[in-house]
Amino acid sequence: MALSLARAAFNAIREKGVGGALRSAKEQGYLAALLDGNLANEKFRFDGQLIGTDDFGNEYYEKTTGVQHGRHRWVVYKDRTYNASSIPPEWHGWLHHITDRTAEQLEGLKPRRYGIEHTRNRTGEGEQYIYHAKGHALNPNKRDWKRYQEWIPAE
Amino acid sequence: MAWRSKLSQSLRELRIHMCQTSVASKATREFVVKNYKDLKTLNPRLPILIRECSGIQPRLWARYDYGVERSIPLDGLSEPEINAKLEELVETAPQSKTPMHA
Amino acid sequence: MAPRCRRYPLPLPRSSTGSGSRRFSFSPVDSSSAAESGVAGSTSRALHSGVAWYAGIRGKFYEGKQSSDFYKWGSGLSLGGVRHARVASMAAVGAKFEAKPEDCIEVSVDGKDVTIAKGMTVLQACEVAGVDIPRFCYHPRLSIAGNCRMCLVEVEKTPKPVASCAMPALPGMKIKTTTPLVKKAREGVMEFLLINHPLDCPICDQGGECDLQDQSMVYGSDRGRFIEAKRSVVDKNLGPLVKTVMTRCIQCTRCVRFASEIAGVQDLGVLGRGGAEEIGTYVERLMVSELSGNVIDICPVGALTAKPSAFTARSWELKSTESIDVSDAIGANIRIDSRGPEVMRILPRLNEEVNEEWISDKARFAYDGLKRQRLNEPLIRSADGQLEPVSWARALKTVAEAALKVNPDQMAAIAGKLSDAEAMMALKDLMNRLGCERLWVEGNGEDTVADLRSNYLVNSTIAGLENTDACLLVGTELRIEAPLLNHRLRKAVRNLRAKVGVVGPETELHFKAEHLGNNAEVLASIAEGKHPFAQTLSKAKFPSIVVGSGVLQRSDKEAVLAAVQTISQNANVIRDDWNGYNFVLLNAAQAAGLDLGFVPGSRATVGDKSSIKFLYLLGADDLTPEDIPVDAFVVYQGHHGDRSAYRADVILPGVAYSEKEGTFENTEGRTQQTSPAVPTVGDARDDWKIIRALSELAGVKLPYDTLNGVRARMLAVAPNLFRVDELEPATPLPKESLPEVKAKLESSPFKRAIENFYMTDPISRASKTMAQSTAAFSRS
Repeated sequence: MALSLARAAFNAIREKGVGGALRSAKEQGYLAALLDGNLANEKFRFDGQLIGTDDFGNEYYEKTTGVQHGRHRWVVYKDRTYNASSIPPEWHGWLHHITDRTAEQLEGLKPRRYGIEHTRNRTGEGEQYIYHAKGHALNPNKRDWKRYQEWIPAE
Repeated sequence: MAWRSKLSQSLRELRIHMCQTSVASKATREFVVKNYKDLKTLNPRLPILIRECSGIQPRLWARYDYGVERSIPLDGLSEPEINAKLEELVETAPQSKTPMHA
Repeated sequence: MAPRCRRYPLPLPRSSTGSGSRRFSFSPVDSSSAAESGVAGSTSRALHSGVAWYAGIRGKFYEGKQSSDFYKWGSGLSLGGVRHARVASMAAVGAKFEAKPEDCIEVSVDGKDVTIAKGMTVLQACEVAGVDIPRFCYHPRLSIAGNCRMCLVEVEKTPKPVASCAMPALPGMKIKTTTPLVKKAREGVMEFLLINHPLDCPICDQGGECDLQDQSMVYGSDRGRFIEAKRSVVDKNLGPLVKTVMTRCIQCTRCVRFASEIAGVQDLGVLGRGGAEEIGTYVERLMVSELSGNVIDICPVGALTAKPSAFTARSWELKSTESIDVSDAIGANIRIDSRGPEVMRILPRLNEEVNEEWISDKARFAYDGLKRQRLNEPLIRSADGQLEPVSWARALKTVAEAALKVNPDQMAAIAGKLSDAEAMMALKDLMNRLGCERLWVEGNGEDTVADLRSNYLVNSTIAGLENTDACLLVGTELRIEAPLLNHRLRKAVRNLRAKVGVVGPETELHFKAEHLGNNAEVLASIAEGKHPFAQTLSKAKFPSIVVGSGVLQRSDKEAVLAAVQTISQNANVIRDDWNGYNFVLLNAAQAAGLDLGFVPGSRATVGDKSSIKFLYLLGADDLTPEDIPVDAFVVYQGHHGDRSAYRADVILPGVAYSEKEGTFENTEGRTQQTSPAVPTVGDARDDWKIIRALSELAGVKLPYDTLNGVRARMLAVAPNLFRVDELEPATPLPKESLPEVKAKLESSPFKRAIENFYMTDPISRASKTMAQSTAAFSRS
């Protein structure tokens, strides 16, 4: 890991100069990774092969040889405020070693008629995100339980 | 009896409650059988409601103008006494015809 | 609370004489002794507690009112079978019954000796013993078919198991229902029934209340061996009310027997043989009968289901409420199944005296009219003729002011067809206190005489009419006006070969009846004794006359009724032990209205409607706009926006029968109460409460504030309305006590009282199902 880190750093300085390399490192989130071990764990791995990116910007890497099984697939989150629930379902299976099919292959399984966009878990982020049942008073689209038609005089 | 033809002048409705089988209503039943024809012929437009229900106390109800009602229990009375009670209901009709809301 | 067991008449044994008056009643013995003394104790108790369906056999042994509940095999009862178990254990109570000693025989069921009537079948003997036998084709009210073979039991000294529904019980028989042979027989029969039965349970409406499901769980084996192909059958079109999926049919022929015996239409039959049997109408024919919906209850599987309520609900999610039907004057006992705020379906309840287990199609299917065109807020007609919603306070104030402005002689009130007794009582009191005496109930005519109850009730009682052996129908189309009463008369014709003569419009009654003519001359000739039917009536032991209340709309009604009185005297129709004079009412409100005296008082103007300046309509929709003067102030208090709502100046929303607890009296004089099944619609209020509030604003506050107060007032006016579920017989007066009638008969023919059976009241007129039925079954 250190060797690949050194090699990547050396390449970056050679291309952009020290200042440029440091700036681009900051932009790419390496500075934040220094402060957060979880991010660092996956950001400072340069030997993986980028398999794909999802709509949120998370990147998915894989390293097939020379790595312990179980650590051969990982995701690099886009947001500094990462959340494991922000992984969409089509990548979740691949990431958790459930299947070998990547998102492009699983795209067709998404329900087109009733499927909704994936959102991450928004617990604690605000009252508007709390799920309420159809008849709950706080549900903005509270269902109308009226089961009759009132009389409208015909003209 | 002359007061019988004045029945519909003073009463709006006459109700007779009696039991179909009990002893206490026997006189009332006889009264109805004997006098209904006469009363109705003299007052064809007066509702004389004969209402039977098992086990109730026989009563004579009179409804006057504006919803005023009076009732007289009839158990233990004989037929002429019932006749007298009916006459009493006619005689003691409330005179004032003012509506209750006025 | 220990249930109070009640006497229950046993179904009649199928004797050839078919005399309707032989009835055996029995009273149950103490439940603990019966449960312990059962020989195959644990097994039978397990059987009993597991199976709820046989509670639906009779629904008997319930506490409460005379009309015991008709529970359709587990539907509507709580999950988990807690209630099932209690019901089951009640039905497991052995029944000792009382009859004349010479009519009894002794048999032994599972080692227990029981005394039963002669002529009873083995299945009935087992019922008396408290042992339940599974069955599909047997129904206590239909003839015995014996083709399902599910009721097989072992009888000692017989070579094969016997079909207990068909085998008469002989003295000394030893019946065994728990032997391995019987178990194998049941499993085998169930396996055969399921061979060609489709795997439709998830999509079948009968799931959850299906006999086949319940009995296969209890009596069937746990695995099947059928790997071949199943047969399927083409669906038949029986109309917009009955949905058929004939693949599910197990050919029990209950519907065939019902149609031919009970409904009187020979529409359904069995075609083909063996596995190719199909039940249908053979030709493209609809099942045109006003009792056609009852085949839905009768069918043990999901072959015949209700079309309007198809795929809408499962039976276990519905809440059942016991109530009374108000579509006609019979007052059939119903069970309203509701889910939340809406009524999902209506089923009959068992009441031997009124409707047995049947209800008419209008009662069963008109419920979707309860959800359409409902009045849900008070409306006042503004100056430009538009109705605008207002608050209750303003609406009531407007009505009160209008009422006080008018001279009492110019006021009138009409009670509609579906009014309950409490509302009519409150309205009568209000009007009387304001000085108005001009009241009448729709269907009664303006100046009906309500004096003697025996003049306007079915005196022989609805159940008693099936004992008549000669009947004269006057001015009535009984099948349209009161289908359940027609059914009783049909029973009399079938069982006792009663002779029926019809004076009135030519009508199809679904039994053999002689049409004597449609004019009053025929009536006069019968009254004089010249007509041959007069001899038929005189010779009969229990003669009866049924007069329709369409007669009240005639101008010569007194003469017609007097002629009928003469006929009844000549034929000895009214006696001490039998009163055959029956007056059939059309609407649910008529009997209670007449009992309460909702008729014009003395000195009230009657007849000329042009003097009316204030008209209070309590759900009355029969008046055409021409009848109401243009300058009259019309108040409409009802639950549907029907014809009168278009004319009304103020609309006060009331509640329908499924939302109120109201007292209704049926045409035989039996007082019954409805129960609220669903909540009220919008801002609607109870009818009597509206009138009570109005009275306070009008300055004539009524002296009652609660429902009990209204009922106490009703007790003071018509005490029989206080006796719920009871029938107070009316004593007729002898001829000498009745005033003379000097009217003359007119020669006009009797008119039809109801033009369209399916749409007679605001609820059925708003119903889509009834509109479809009218289109499908309209008379040509």
